[in-house]
Amino acid sequence: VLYPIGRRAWLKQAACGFGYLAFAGLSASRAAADDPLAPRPPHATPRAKRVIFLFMQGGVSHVDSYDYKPRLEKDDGKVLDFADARVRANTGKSAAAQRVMKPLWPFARRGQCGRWASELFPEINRHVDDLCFLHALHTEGVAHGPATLFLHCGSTNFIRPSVGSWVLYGLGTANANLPGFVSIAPSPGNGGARNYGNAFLPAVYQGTALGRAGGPASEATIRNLTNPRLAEADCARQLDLLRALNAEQLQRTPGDPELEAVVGSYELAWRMQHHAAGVLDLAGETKETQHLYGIGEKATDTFGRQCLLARRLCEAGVRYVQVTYGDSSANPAWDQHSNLPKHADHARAVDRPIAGLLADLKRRGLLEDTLVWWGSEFGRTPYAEKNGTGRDHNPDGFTVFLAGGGVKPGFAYGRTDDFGHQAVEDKVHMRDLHATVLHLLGLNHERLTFRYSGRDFRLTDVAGRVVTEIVA
Amino acid sequence: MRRRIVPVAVLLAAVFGPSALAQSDPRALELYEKKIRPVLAEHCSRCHSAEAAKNHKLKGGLLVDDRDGLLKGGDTGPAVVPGKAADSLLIQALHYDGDLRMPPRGKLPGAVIADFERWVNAGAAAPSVASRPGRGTSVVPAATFWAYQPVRAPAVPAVQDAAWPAGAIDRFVLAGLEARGLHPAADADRATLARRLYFDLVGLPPSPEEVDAFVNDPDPAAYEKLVERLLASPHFGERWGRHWLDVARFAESLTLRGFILKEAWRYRDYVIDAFDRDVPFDQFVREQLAGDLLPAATPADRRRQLVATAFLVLGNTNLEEQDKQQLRMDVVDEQLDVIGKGFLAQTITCARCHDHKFDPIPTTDYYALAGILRNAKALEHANVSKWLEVPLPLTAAEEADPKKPKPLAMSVVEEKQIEDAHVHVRGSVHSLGAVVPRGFLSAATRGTTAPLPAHESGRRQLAEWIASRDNPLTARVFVNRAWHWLFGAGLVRTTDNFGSTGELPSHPELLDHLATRFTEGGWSMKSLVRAVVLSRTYCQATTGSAAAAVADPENRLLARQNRRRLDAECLRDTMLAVSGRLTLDHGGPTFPPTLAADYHYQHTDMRRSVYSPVFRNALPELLAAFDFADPSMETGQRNVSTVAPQALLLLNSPFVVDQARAAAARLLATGPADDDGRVVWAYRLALGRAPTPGERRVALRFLGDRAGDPKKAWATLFQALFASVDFRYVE
Repeated sequence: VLYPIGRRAWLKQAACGFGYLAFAGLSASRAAADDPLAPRPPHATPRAKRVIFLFMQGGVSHVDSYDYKPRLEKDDGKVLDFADARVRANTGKSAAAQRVMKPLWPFARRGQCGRWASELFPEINRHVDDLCFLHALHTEGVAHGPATLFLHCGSTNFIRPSVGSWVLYGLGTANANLPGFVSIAPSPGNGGARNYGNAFLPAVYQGTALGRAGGPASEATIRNLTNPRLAEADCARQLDLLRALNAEQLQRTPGDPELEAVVGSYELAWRMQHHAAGVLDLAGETKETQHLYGIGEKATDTFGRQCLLARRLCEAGVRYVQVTYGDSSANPAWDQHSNLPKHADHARAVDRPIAGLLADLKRRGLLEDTLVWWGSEFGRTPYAEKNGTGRDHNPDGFTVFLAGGGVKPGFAYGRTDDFGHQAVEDKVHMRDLHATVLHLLGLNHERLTFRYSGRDFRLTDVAGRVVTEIVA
Repeated sequence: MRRRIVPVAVLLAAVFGPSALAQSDPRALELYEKKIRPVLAEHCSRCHSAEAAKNHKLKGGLLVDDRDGLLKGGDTGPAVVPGKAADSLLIQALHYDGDLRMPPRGKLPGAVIADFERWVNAGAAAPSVASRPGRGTSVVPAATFWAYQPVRAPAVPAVQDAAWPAGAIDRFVLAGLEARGLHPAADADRATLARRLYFDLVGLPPSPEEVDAFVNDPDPAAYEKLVERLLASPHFGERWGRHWLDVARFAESLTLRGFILKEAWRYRDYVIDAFDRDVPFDQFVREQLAGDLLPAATPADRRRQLVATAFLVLGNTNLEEQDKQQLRMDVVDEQLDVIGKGFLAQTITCARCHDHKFDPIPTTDYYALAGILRNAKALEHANVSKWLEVPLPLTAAEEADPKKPKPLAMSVVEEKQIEDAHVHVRGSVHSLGAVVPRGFLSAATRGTTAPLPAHESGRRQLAEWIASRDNPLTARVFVNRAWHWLFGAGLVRTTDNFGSTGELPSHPELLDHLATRFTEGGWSMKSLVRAVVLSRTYCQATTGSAAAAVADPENRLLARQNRRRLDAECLRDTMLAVSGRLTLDHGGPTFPPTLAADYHYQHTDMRRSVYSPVFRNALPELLAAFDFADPSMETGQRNVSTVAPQALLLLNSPFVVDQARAAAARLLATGPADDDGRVVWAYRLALGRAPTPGERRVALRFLGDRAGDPKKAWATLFQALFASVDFRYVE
C-alpha cells in the first residue's frame, strides 16, 4: 500500500445506517450513541419487519374491483341523490343528483375464502386467500393533491414527514449499505418530493427516490452510485489518494469523531458502490422469477421490474419500499373521470407484477414478516361523471388490501353503504391505517413522536386507531 | 371580584334548577341507567370522559361521565339542552345530520337514538358528579418568562484580563469564562481568519493573492480594513440574503404539479439588495409584511416594497384543496408560522386548535393575528386556486418599450370587506366560535394597544408592532440569528423558538446588549455583523484549552470559535471558483420564462448557488445532498449531516469531476511550471493554505506515479482536495 490509511474511524462506525456516519457534532462521548439510523427496538413485538406499499396513483375504482355492490347493477342508470364529497367541499351542500353506474367488470367469489372480486385483476385474484381487505377506508382531501399528501404524510397541506420516514425514524435501518426508505418511481406531481420527504425529521430519514414515475425501470438507481466519467481503476486511485490526503489532514486533530466520520463516509460510499449496485441489478434473477413478475413482456415489464426490485431491496434489509404506479400528470394513471374502460390498461400493467410479488414473497418466506399494502389516495364514486363514461374521486369510502406481515389472510373488514359510496360500518380512516401499519411494525403510533418547534408531532396527529380486528 | 362571581353562580343554579329536579325522579334516572349510560360508556367514553382525559385521549373537550359534563358540553357548546332534544347537539350528532357525526365508527340504531331523544326531552336526568381533570400542562407566565421581558441595556461587566477584550462583546464572553476559571483560545492565524471571514461575509473563498495581501499587511488595522472591504462587497448581500431566504422558505415552484413561481426571483433579488444596501432591519420587516400598504417616495421604492410582500405568499400551498374556506385559513396559518418563527421565534400556530400548551399564547391571540392576515387576499380561488401577481410601476426602460412584458410581482391585495376572525373551534373552518378583535401577541405586548381601524386590515400596524423597539422579541431574534450565522450556534441555540420549549440564552446579557446596540444603531444589519466579526471572541482559533473542552464540551461559553461545516452553497461556489468557471453575474431571472413545471429540471448554470432556481421538486442535487434548507419550511438552523450520498456525490458526480478537470487544466496553463510549485498553488486555491510537508510528499509521490498523464493526475488531485476534510470545514 502506497499511502497510510486511517481505518480506525470507519471500522468503528461500520455498523451505522445507510450512509450515516455517527457523530454528535458536540462531543466525542456522545458520538457513538447518536447514530440516528442504528436499529432500535420497537415498542412491542413486531408482526412485520418491513413494508412494501404499492401505490396506485389516481384512485382505483373500488366498486369495479373489490367492493361488490349488487345495488349498482340493479339501479344502473337511475338518477339518485348522493352526498358527493366534492360538492360538499365546494358548496357545503350535502346532496346532489347523480347517475348510478354499474361496475364494468363482472364480480365473482374467489378463492377458499370466497371474497368477491371482479375480473379487473385476474392474477391478483388468485391470491385472494392471502389478502386482507379493508372495505371502509375513508380519508381527507377530495382532490389528488391534498389526498395524496394525506395518504403519505397524514396532512393535506402542512409540511409533515412521510410514513416511510416515520418508520425509519422508529426502527432504524437493517442494512448500513442501503437506504432504509426507498421510493421507486415516485411521481413528481401532487406533492412530489414531499410524499417521501422527512419534513422536520432529520434528513437521514428522507426517502431515497429511485427513478421517476413514467420513466424506464433502468433509471431506478441510487444517484452517483457509479462514475460516468472515470474508469473503475481511476476511481480506486482517486479514493486511495483521498485516503492519503485525509490521513494527513487528520493528524492535526487526531481522534476527532466528527472528522473521522467524514473520512469514514468515503469508505462507506465505496462499499455501497459495490454492494448496492448488486442489489439493484436484476440480472441475477432466474428466468422463471423474471417471468413471474411479467418482466420481458411489454405491458408488464416496467412495473414488473419495479416490483422485483422492491422484493430485492426488502430482502436486503430496506424497511420501507414504495412502488408507485403513476405518472406526473394532473390526472394521474388511475384517474378515470371519463373512459373508465382505461382501468383495464392499468390493471394489465400491474396485475401480474403484483401477483408475482405476492407469490415470490410467499415462497421465500418473506410474506410472513413483510407487510404489503395496496391502494390509492381515494376510491371512485359509484355514479358516473360528466360525459357518463367515468367516475369522480371518492374519499368517503374505498378499499385497500393488505397482505402478510401479521394481518388476517382471506379476511375482509368494514362495509360501505349499498352503493359503495360511503363507509358505514367498521370504518377505517387513513389515520387508522397509518396507526395500524405502525402497530404491525411494533410501533405505537401515540409514542412515536418527534419534538419540533416545541411540540411532539406524530404521524397520526391526535387521532388514529389501531384496527386490531384485522391483526392475525 | 368575589362579589361578581357569586351572583353568576346563583344565576346558574337558577337556570339549571328546575331540570336538576329531574335528577331525583327515579323513573327518569332508571331510563338513564338502563338505556343511556351503557351506550355512553360503550360508544362515547373512549374519547369523552375523565378517563380519556387522563390518558390524553379526550376529544373535543366533552366529558360524558355525568350530567354536568353533558350540559357544559365541549368546544362546540352544550351537548344536551334538557327538554329540547332537537336543539341538543348530542342528538344531532347521533342522527348523523350535519358535519358532526357521532359515534364516528357508525350510526347507532334508530331505537337507541329514540331512547336518547326521550331521555333528553324528559329533562336528561343523570347523576351530577362533577370532577374535572385539570389542564395537565403548565404554561409559563408572560409576566416573568425571559423572552417577553423588555430588552434592557445591561452594564458591561468588569473582567480580570482587561487586555483581552476588543470591545463590549468580548467582556460579556470573558466574564462568563472567568466565572468558571476558563480562558479564551488564542487568536486564529491570519490565513485561517481570512478564509473564515470570506466565507462568513461573502460566501466565497479568498484567492491566494487576497490571503497574501492580508497576511502580509503590516497595518495594525489590516483586519478592520478587510472587514470593511468585504462588508462593502456586492457579494455580501448574496451570502447574507441567502441566510434570510432560508427563514423566508423561499422557493420558485410549488410541489403541487410543479407550478413555477415565475416572479419569485424578484423577491430573492430584493432580499440580496436589502443586505447589500444595509436596509435597516425594521424597514426590512415592514416592507415584507406590508410593503403594499406603505407610502413610497419613488416608483422604484414602490416597486421594491411590492416585491417584498412576496414573503407572505411563498408558502408551498396546496392550491387544489377543494374546501376553499379551509384553504384560505391554511394560507393564513402558514403565514403566521413563518412570521411567528421568522421574526418572533414564537410557535404561534400551536394555538390554532387550542391554547398553546406551554407558551402564553391563547387561541384568541391566534385568531386576532389570523384576522389581520385573513384580510390580505392571497389567492384567486378556482378548482386549482392561483396566487396573485400584481403589476409593478414601470421603469423608464420598460415604459419606453411597449413590447417589453409588463413586470409583475407576487403579492397580496387587501380584501374589500375588512373583518375580524372567529375563533375556529378545534381549528375547524366549519365550527366557528366567538369573533376576536384583530390584534397582536398579548404576551409580547406591554400595556394596551389601540384597536385596529375598521377600514384597514391591520397588516401595517402588525408590521409596525413587530418592527418596534418595544417589541421584546424582534431585535433579540435577529441578533441571535446573526450570531448563529457567524458562530454556527446562536446564543439561544433554538433560533426559531424563544418559547418555553426552546433553549435559554447562554449569555442573556450579551443578547440584550446586542439587541440594544442593534435598535439604537438604527437596525443596521451591517453594523451588527461588523461588531461581531471585530470581536476577539469571533477571531479565536477553533482549538481552545483542554480545560475548556472538558468543562464546556458544547462550547456554550465560547472559549473558542466553532469549527463549522462549509455549507452547500459555499461548497459548490468554491469548486466553481477553483475551476475558474464561476460567473459572478448579479441578480435577474435564472430560468426560461416559458418553463411550465419544475419536474426533472436540469441545473446546468455556473452562477453562484444563491441564483440556482429553488425548485421544490428538483432542488440542485449538490445543494440537496449537503443539507440545503427545506424550502417549504421556515429554517433558522440547517441540518448538519454526514451521509454516504454526500461522499458518493463528491467521488462520482459529473459536476465535481468536471470542476476538478477544469481546475487541473487551469493550473497547468497558468500556474507554476514545476510540480512542487503547483502542489502549493493547488492547496492554496482549494484550501486557502499551503500544504504541510507530509501533504506535499503524498501529492508529489502520486504525481510521480502518474507522470504519463499530467492532466488526469492533476484532475484526480483536485477532486481529492474537493472531497478532503479540510475543504468541507471552516476553521
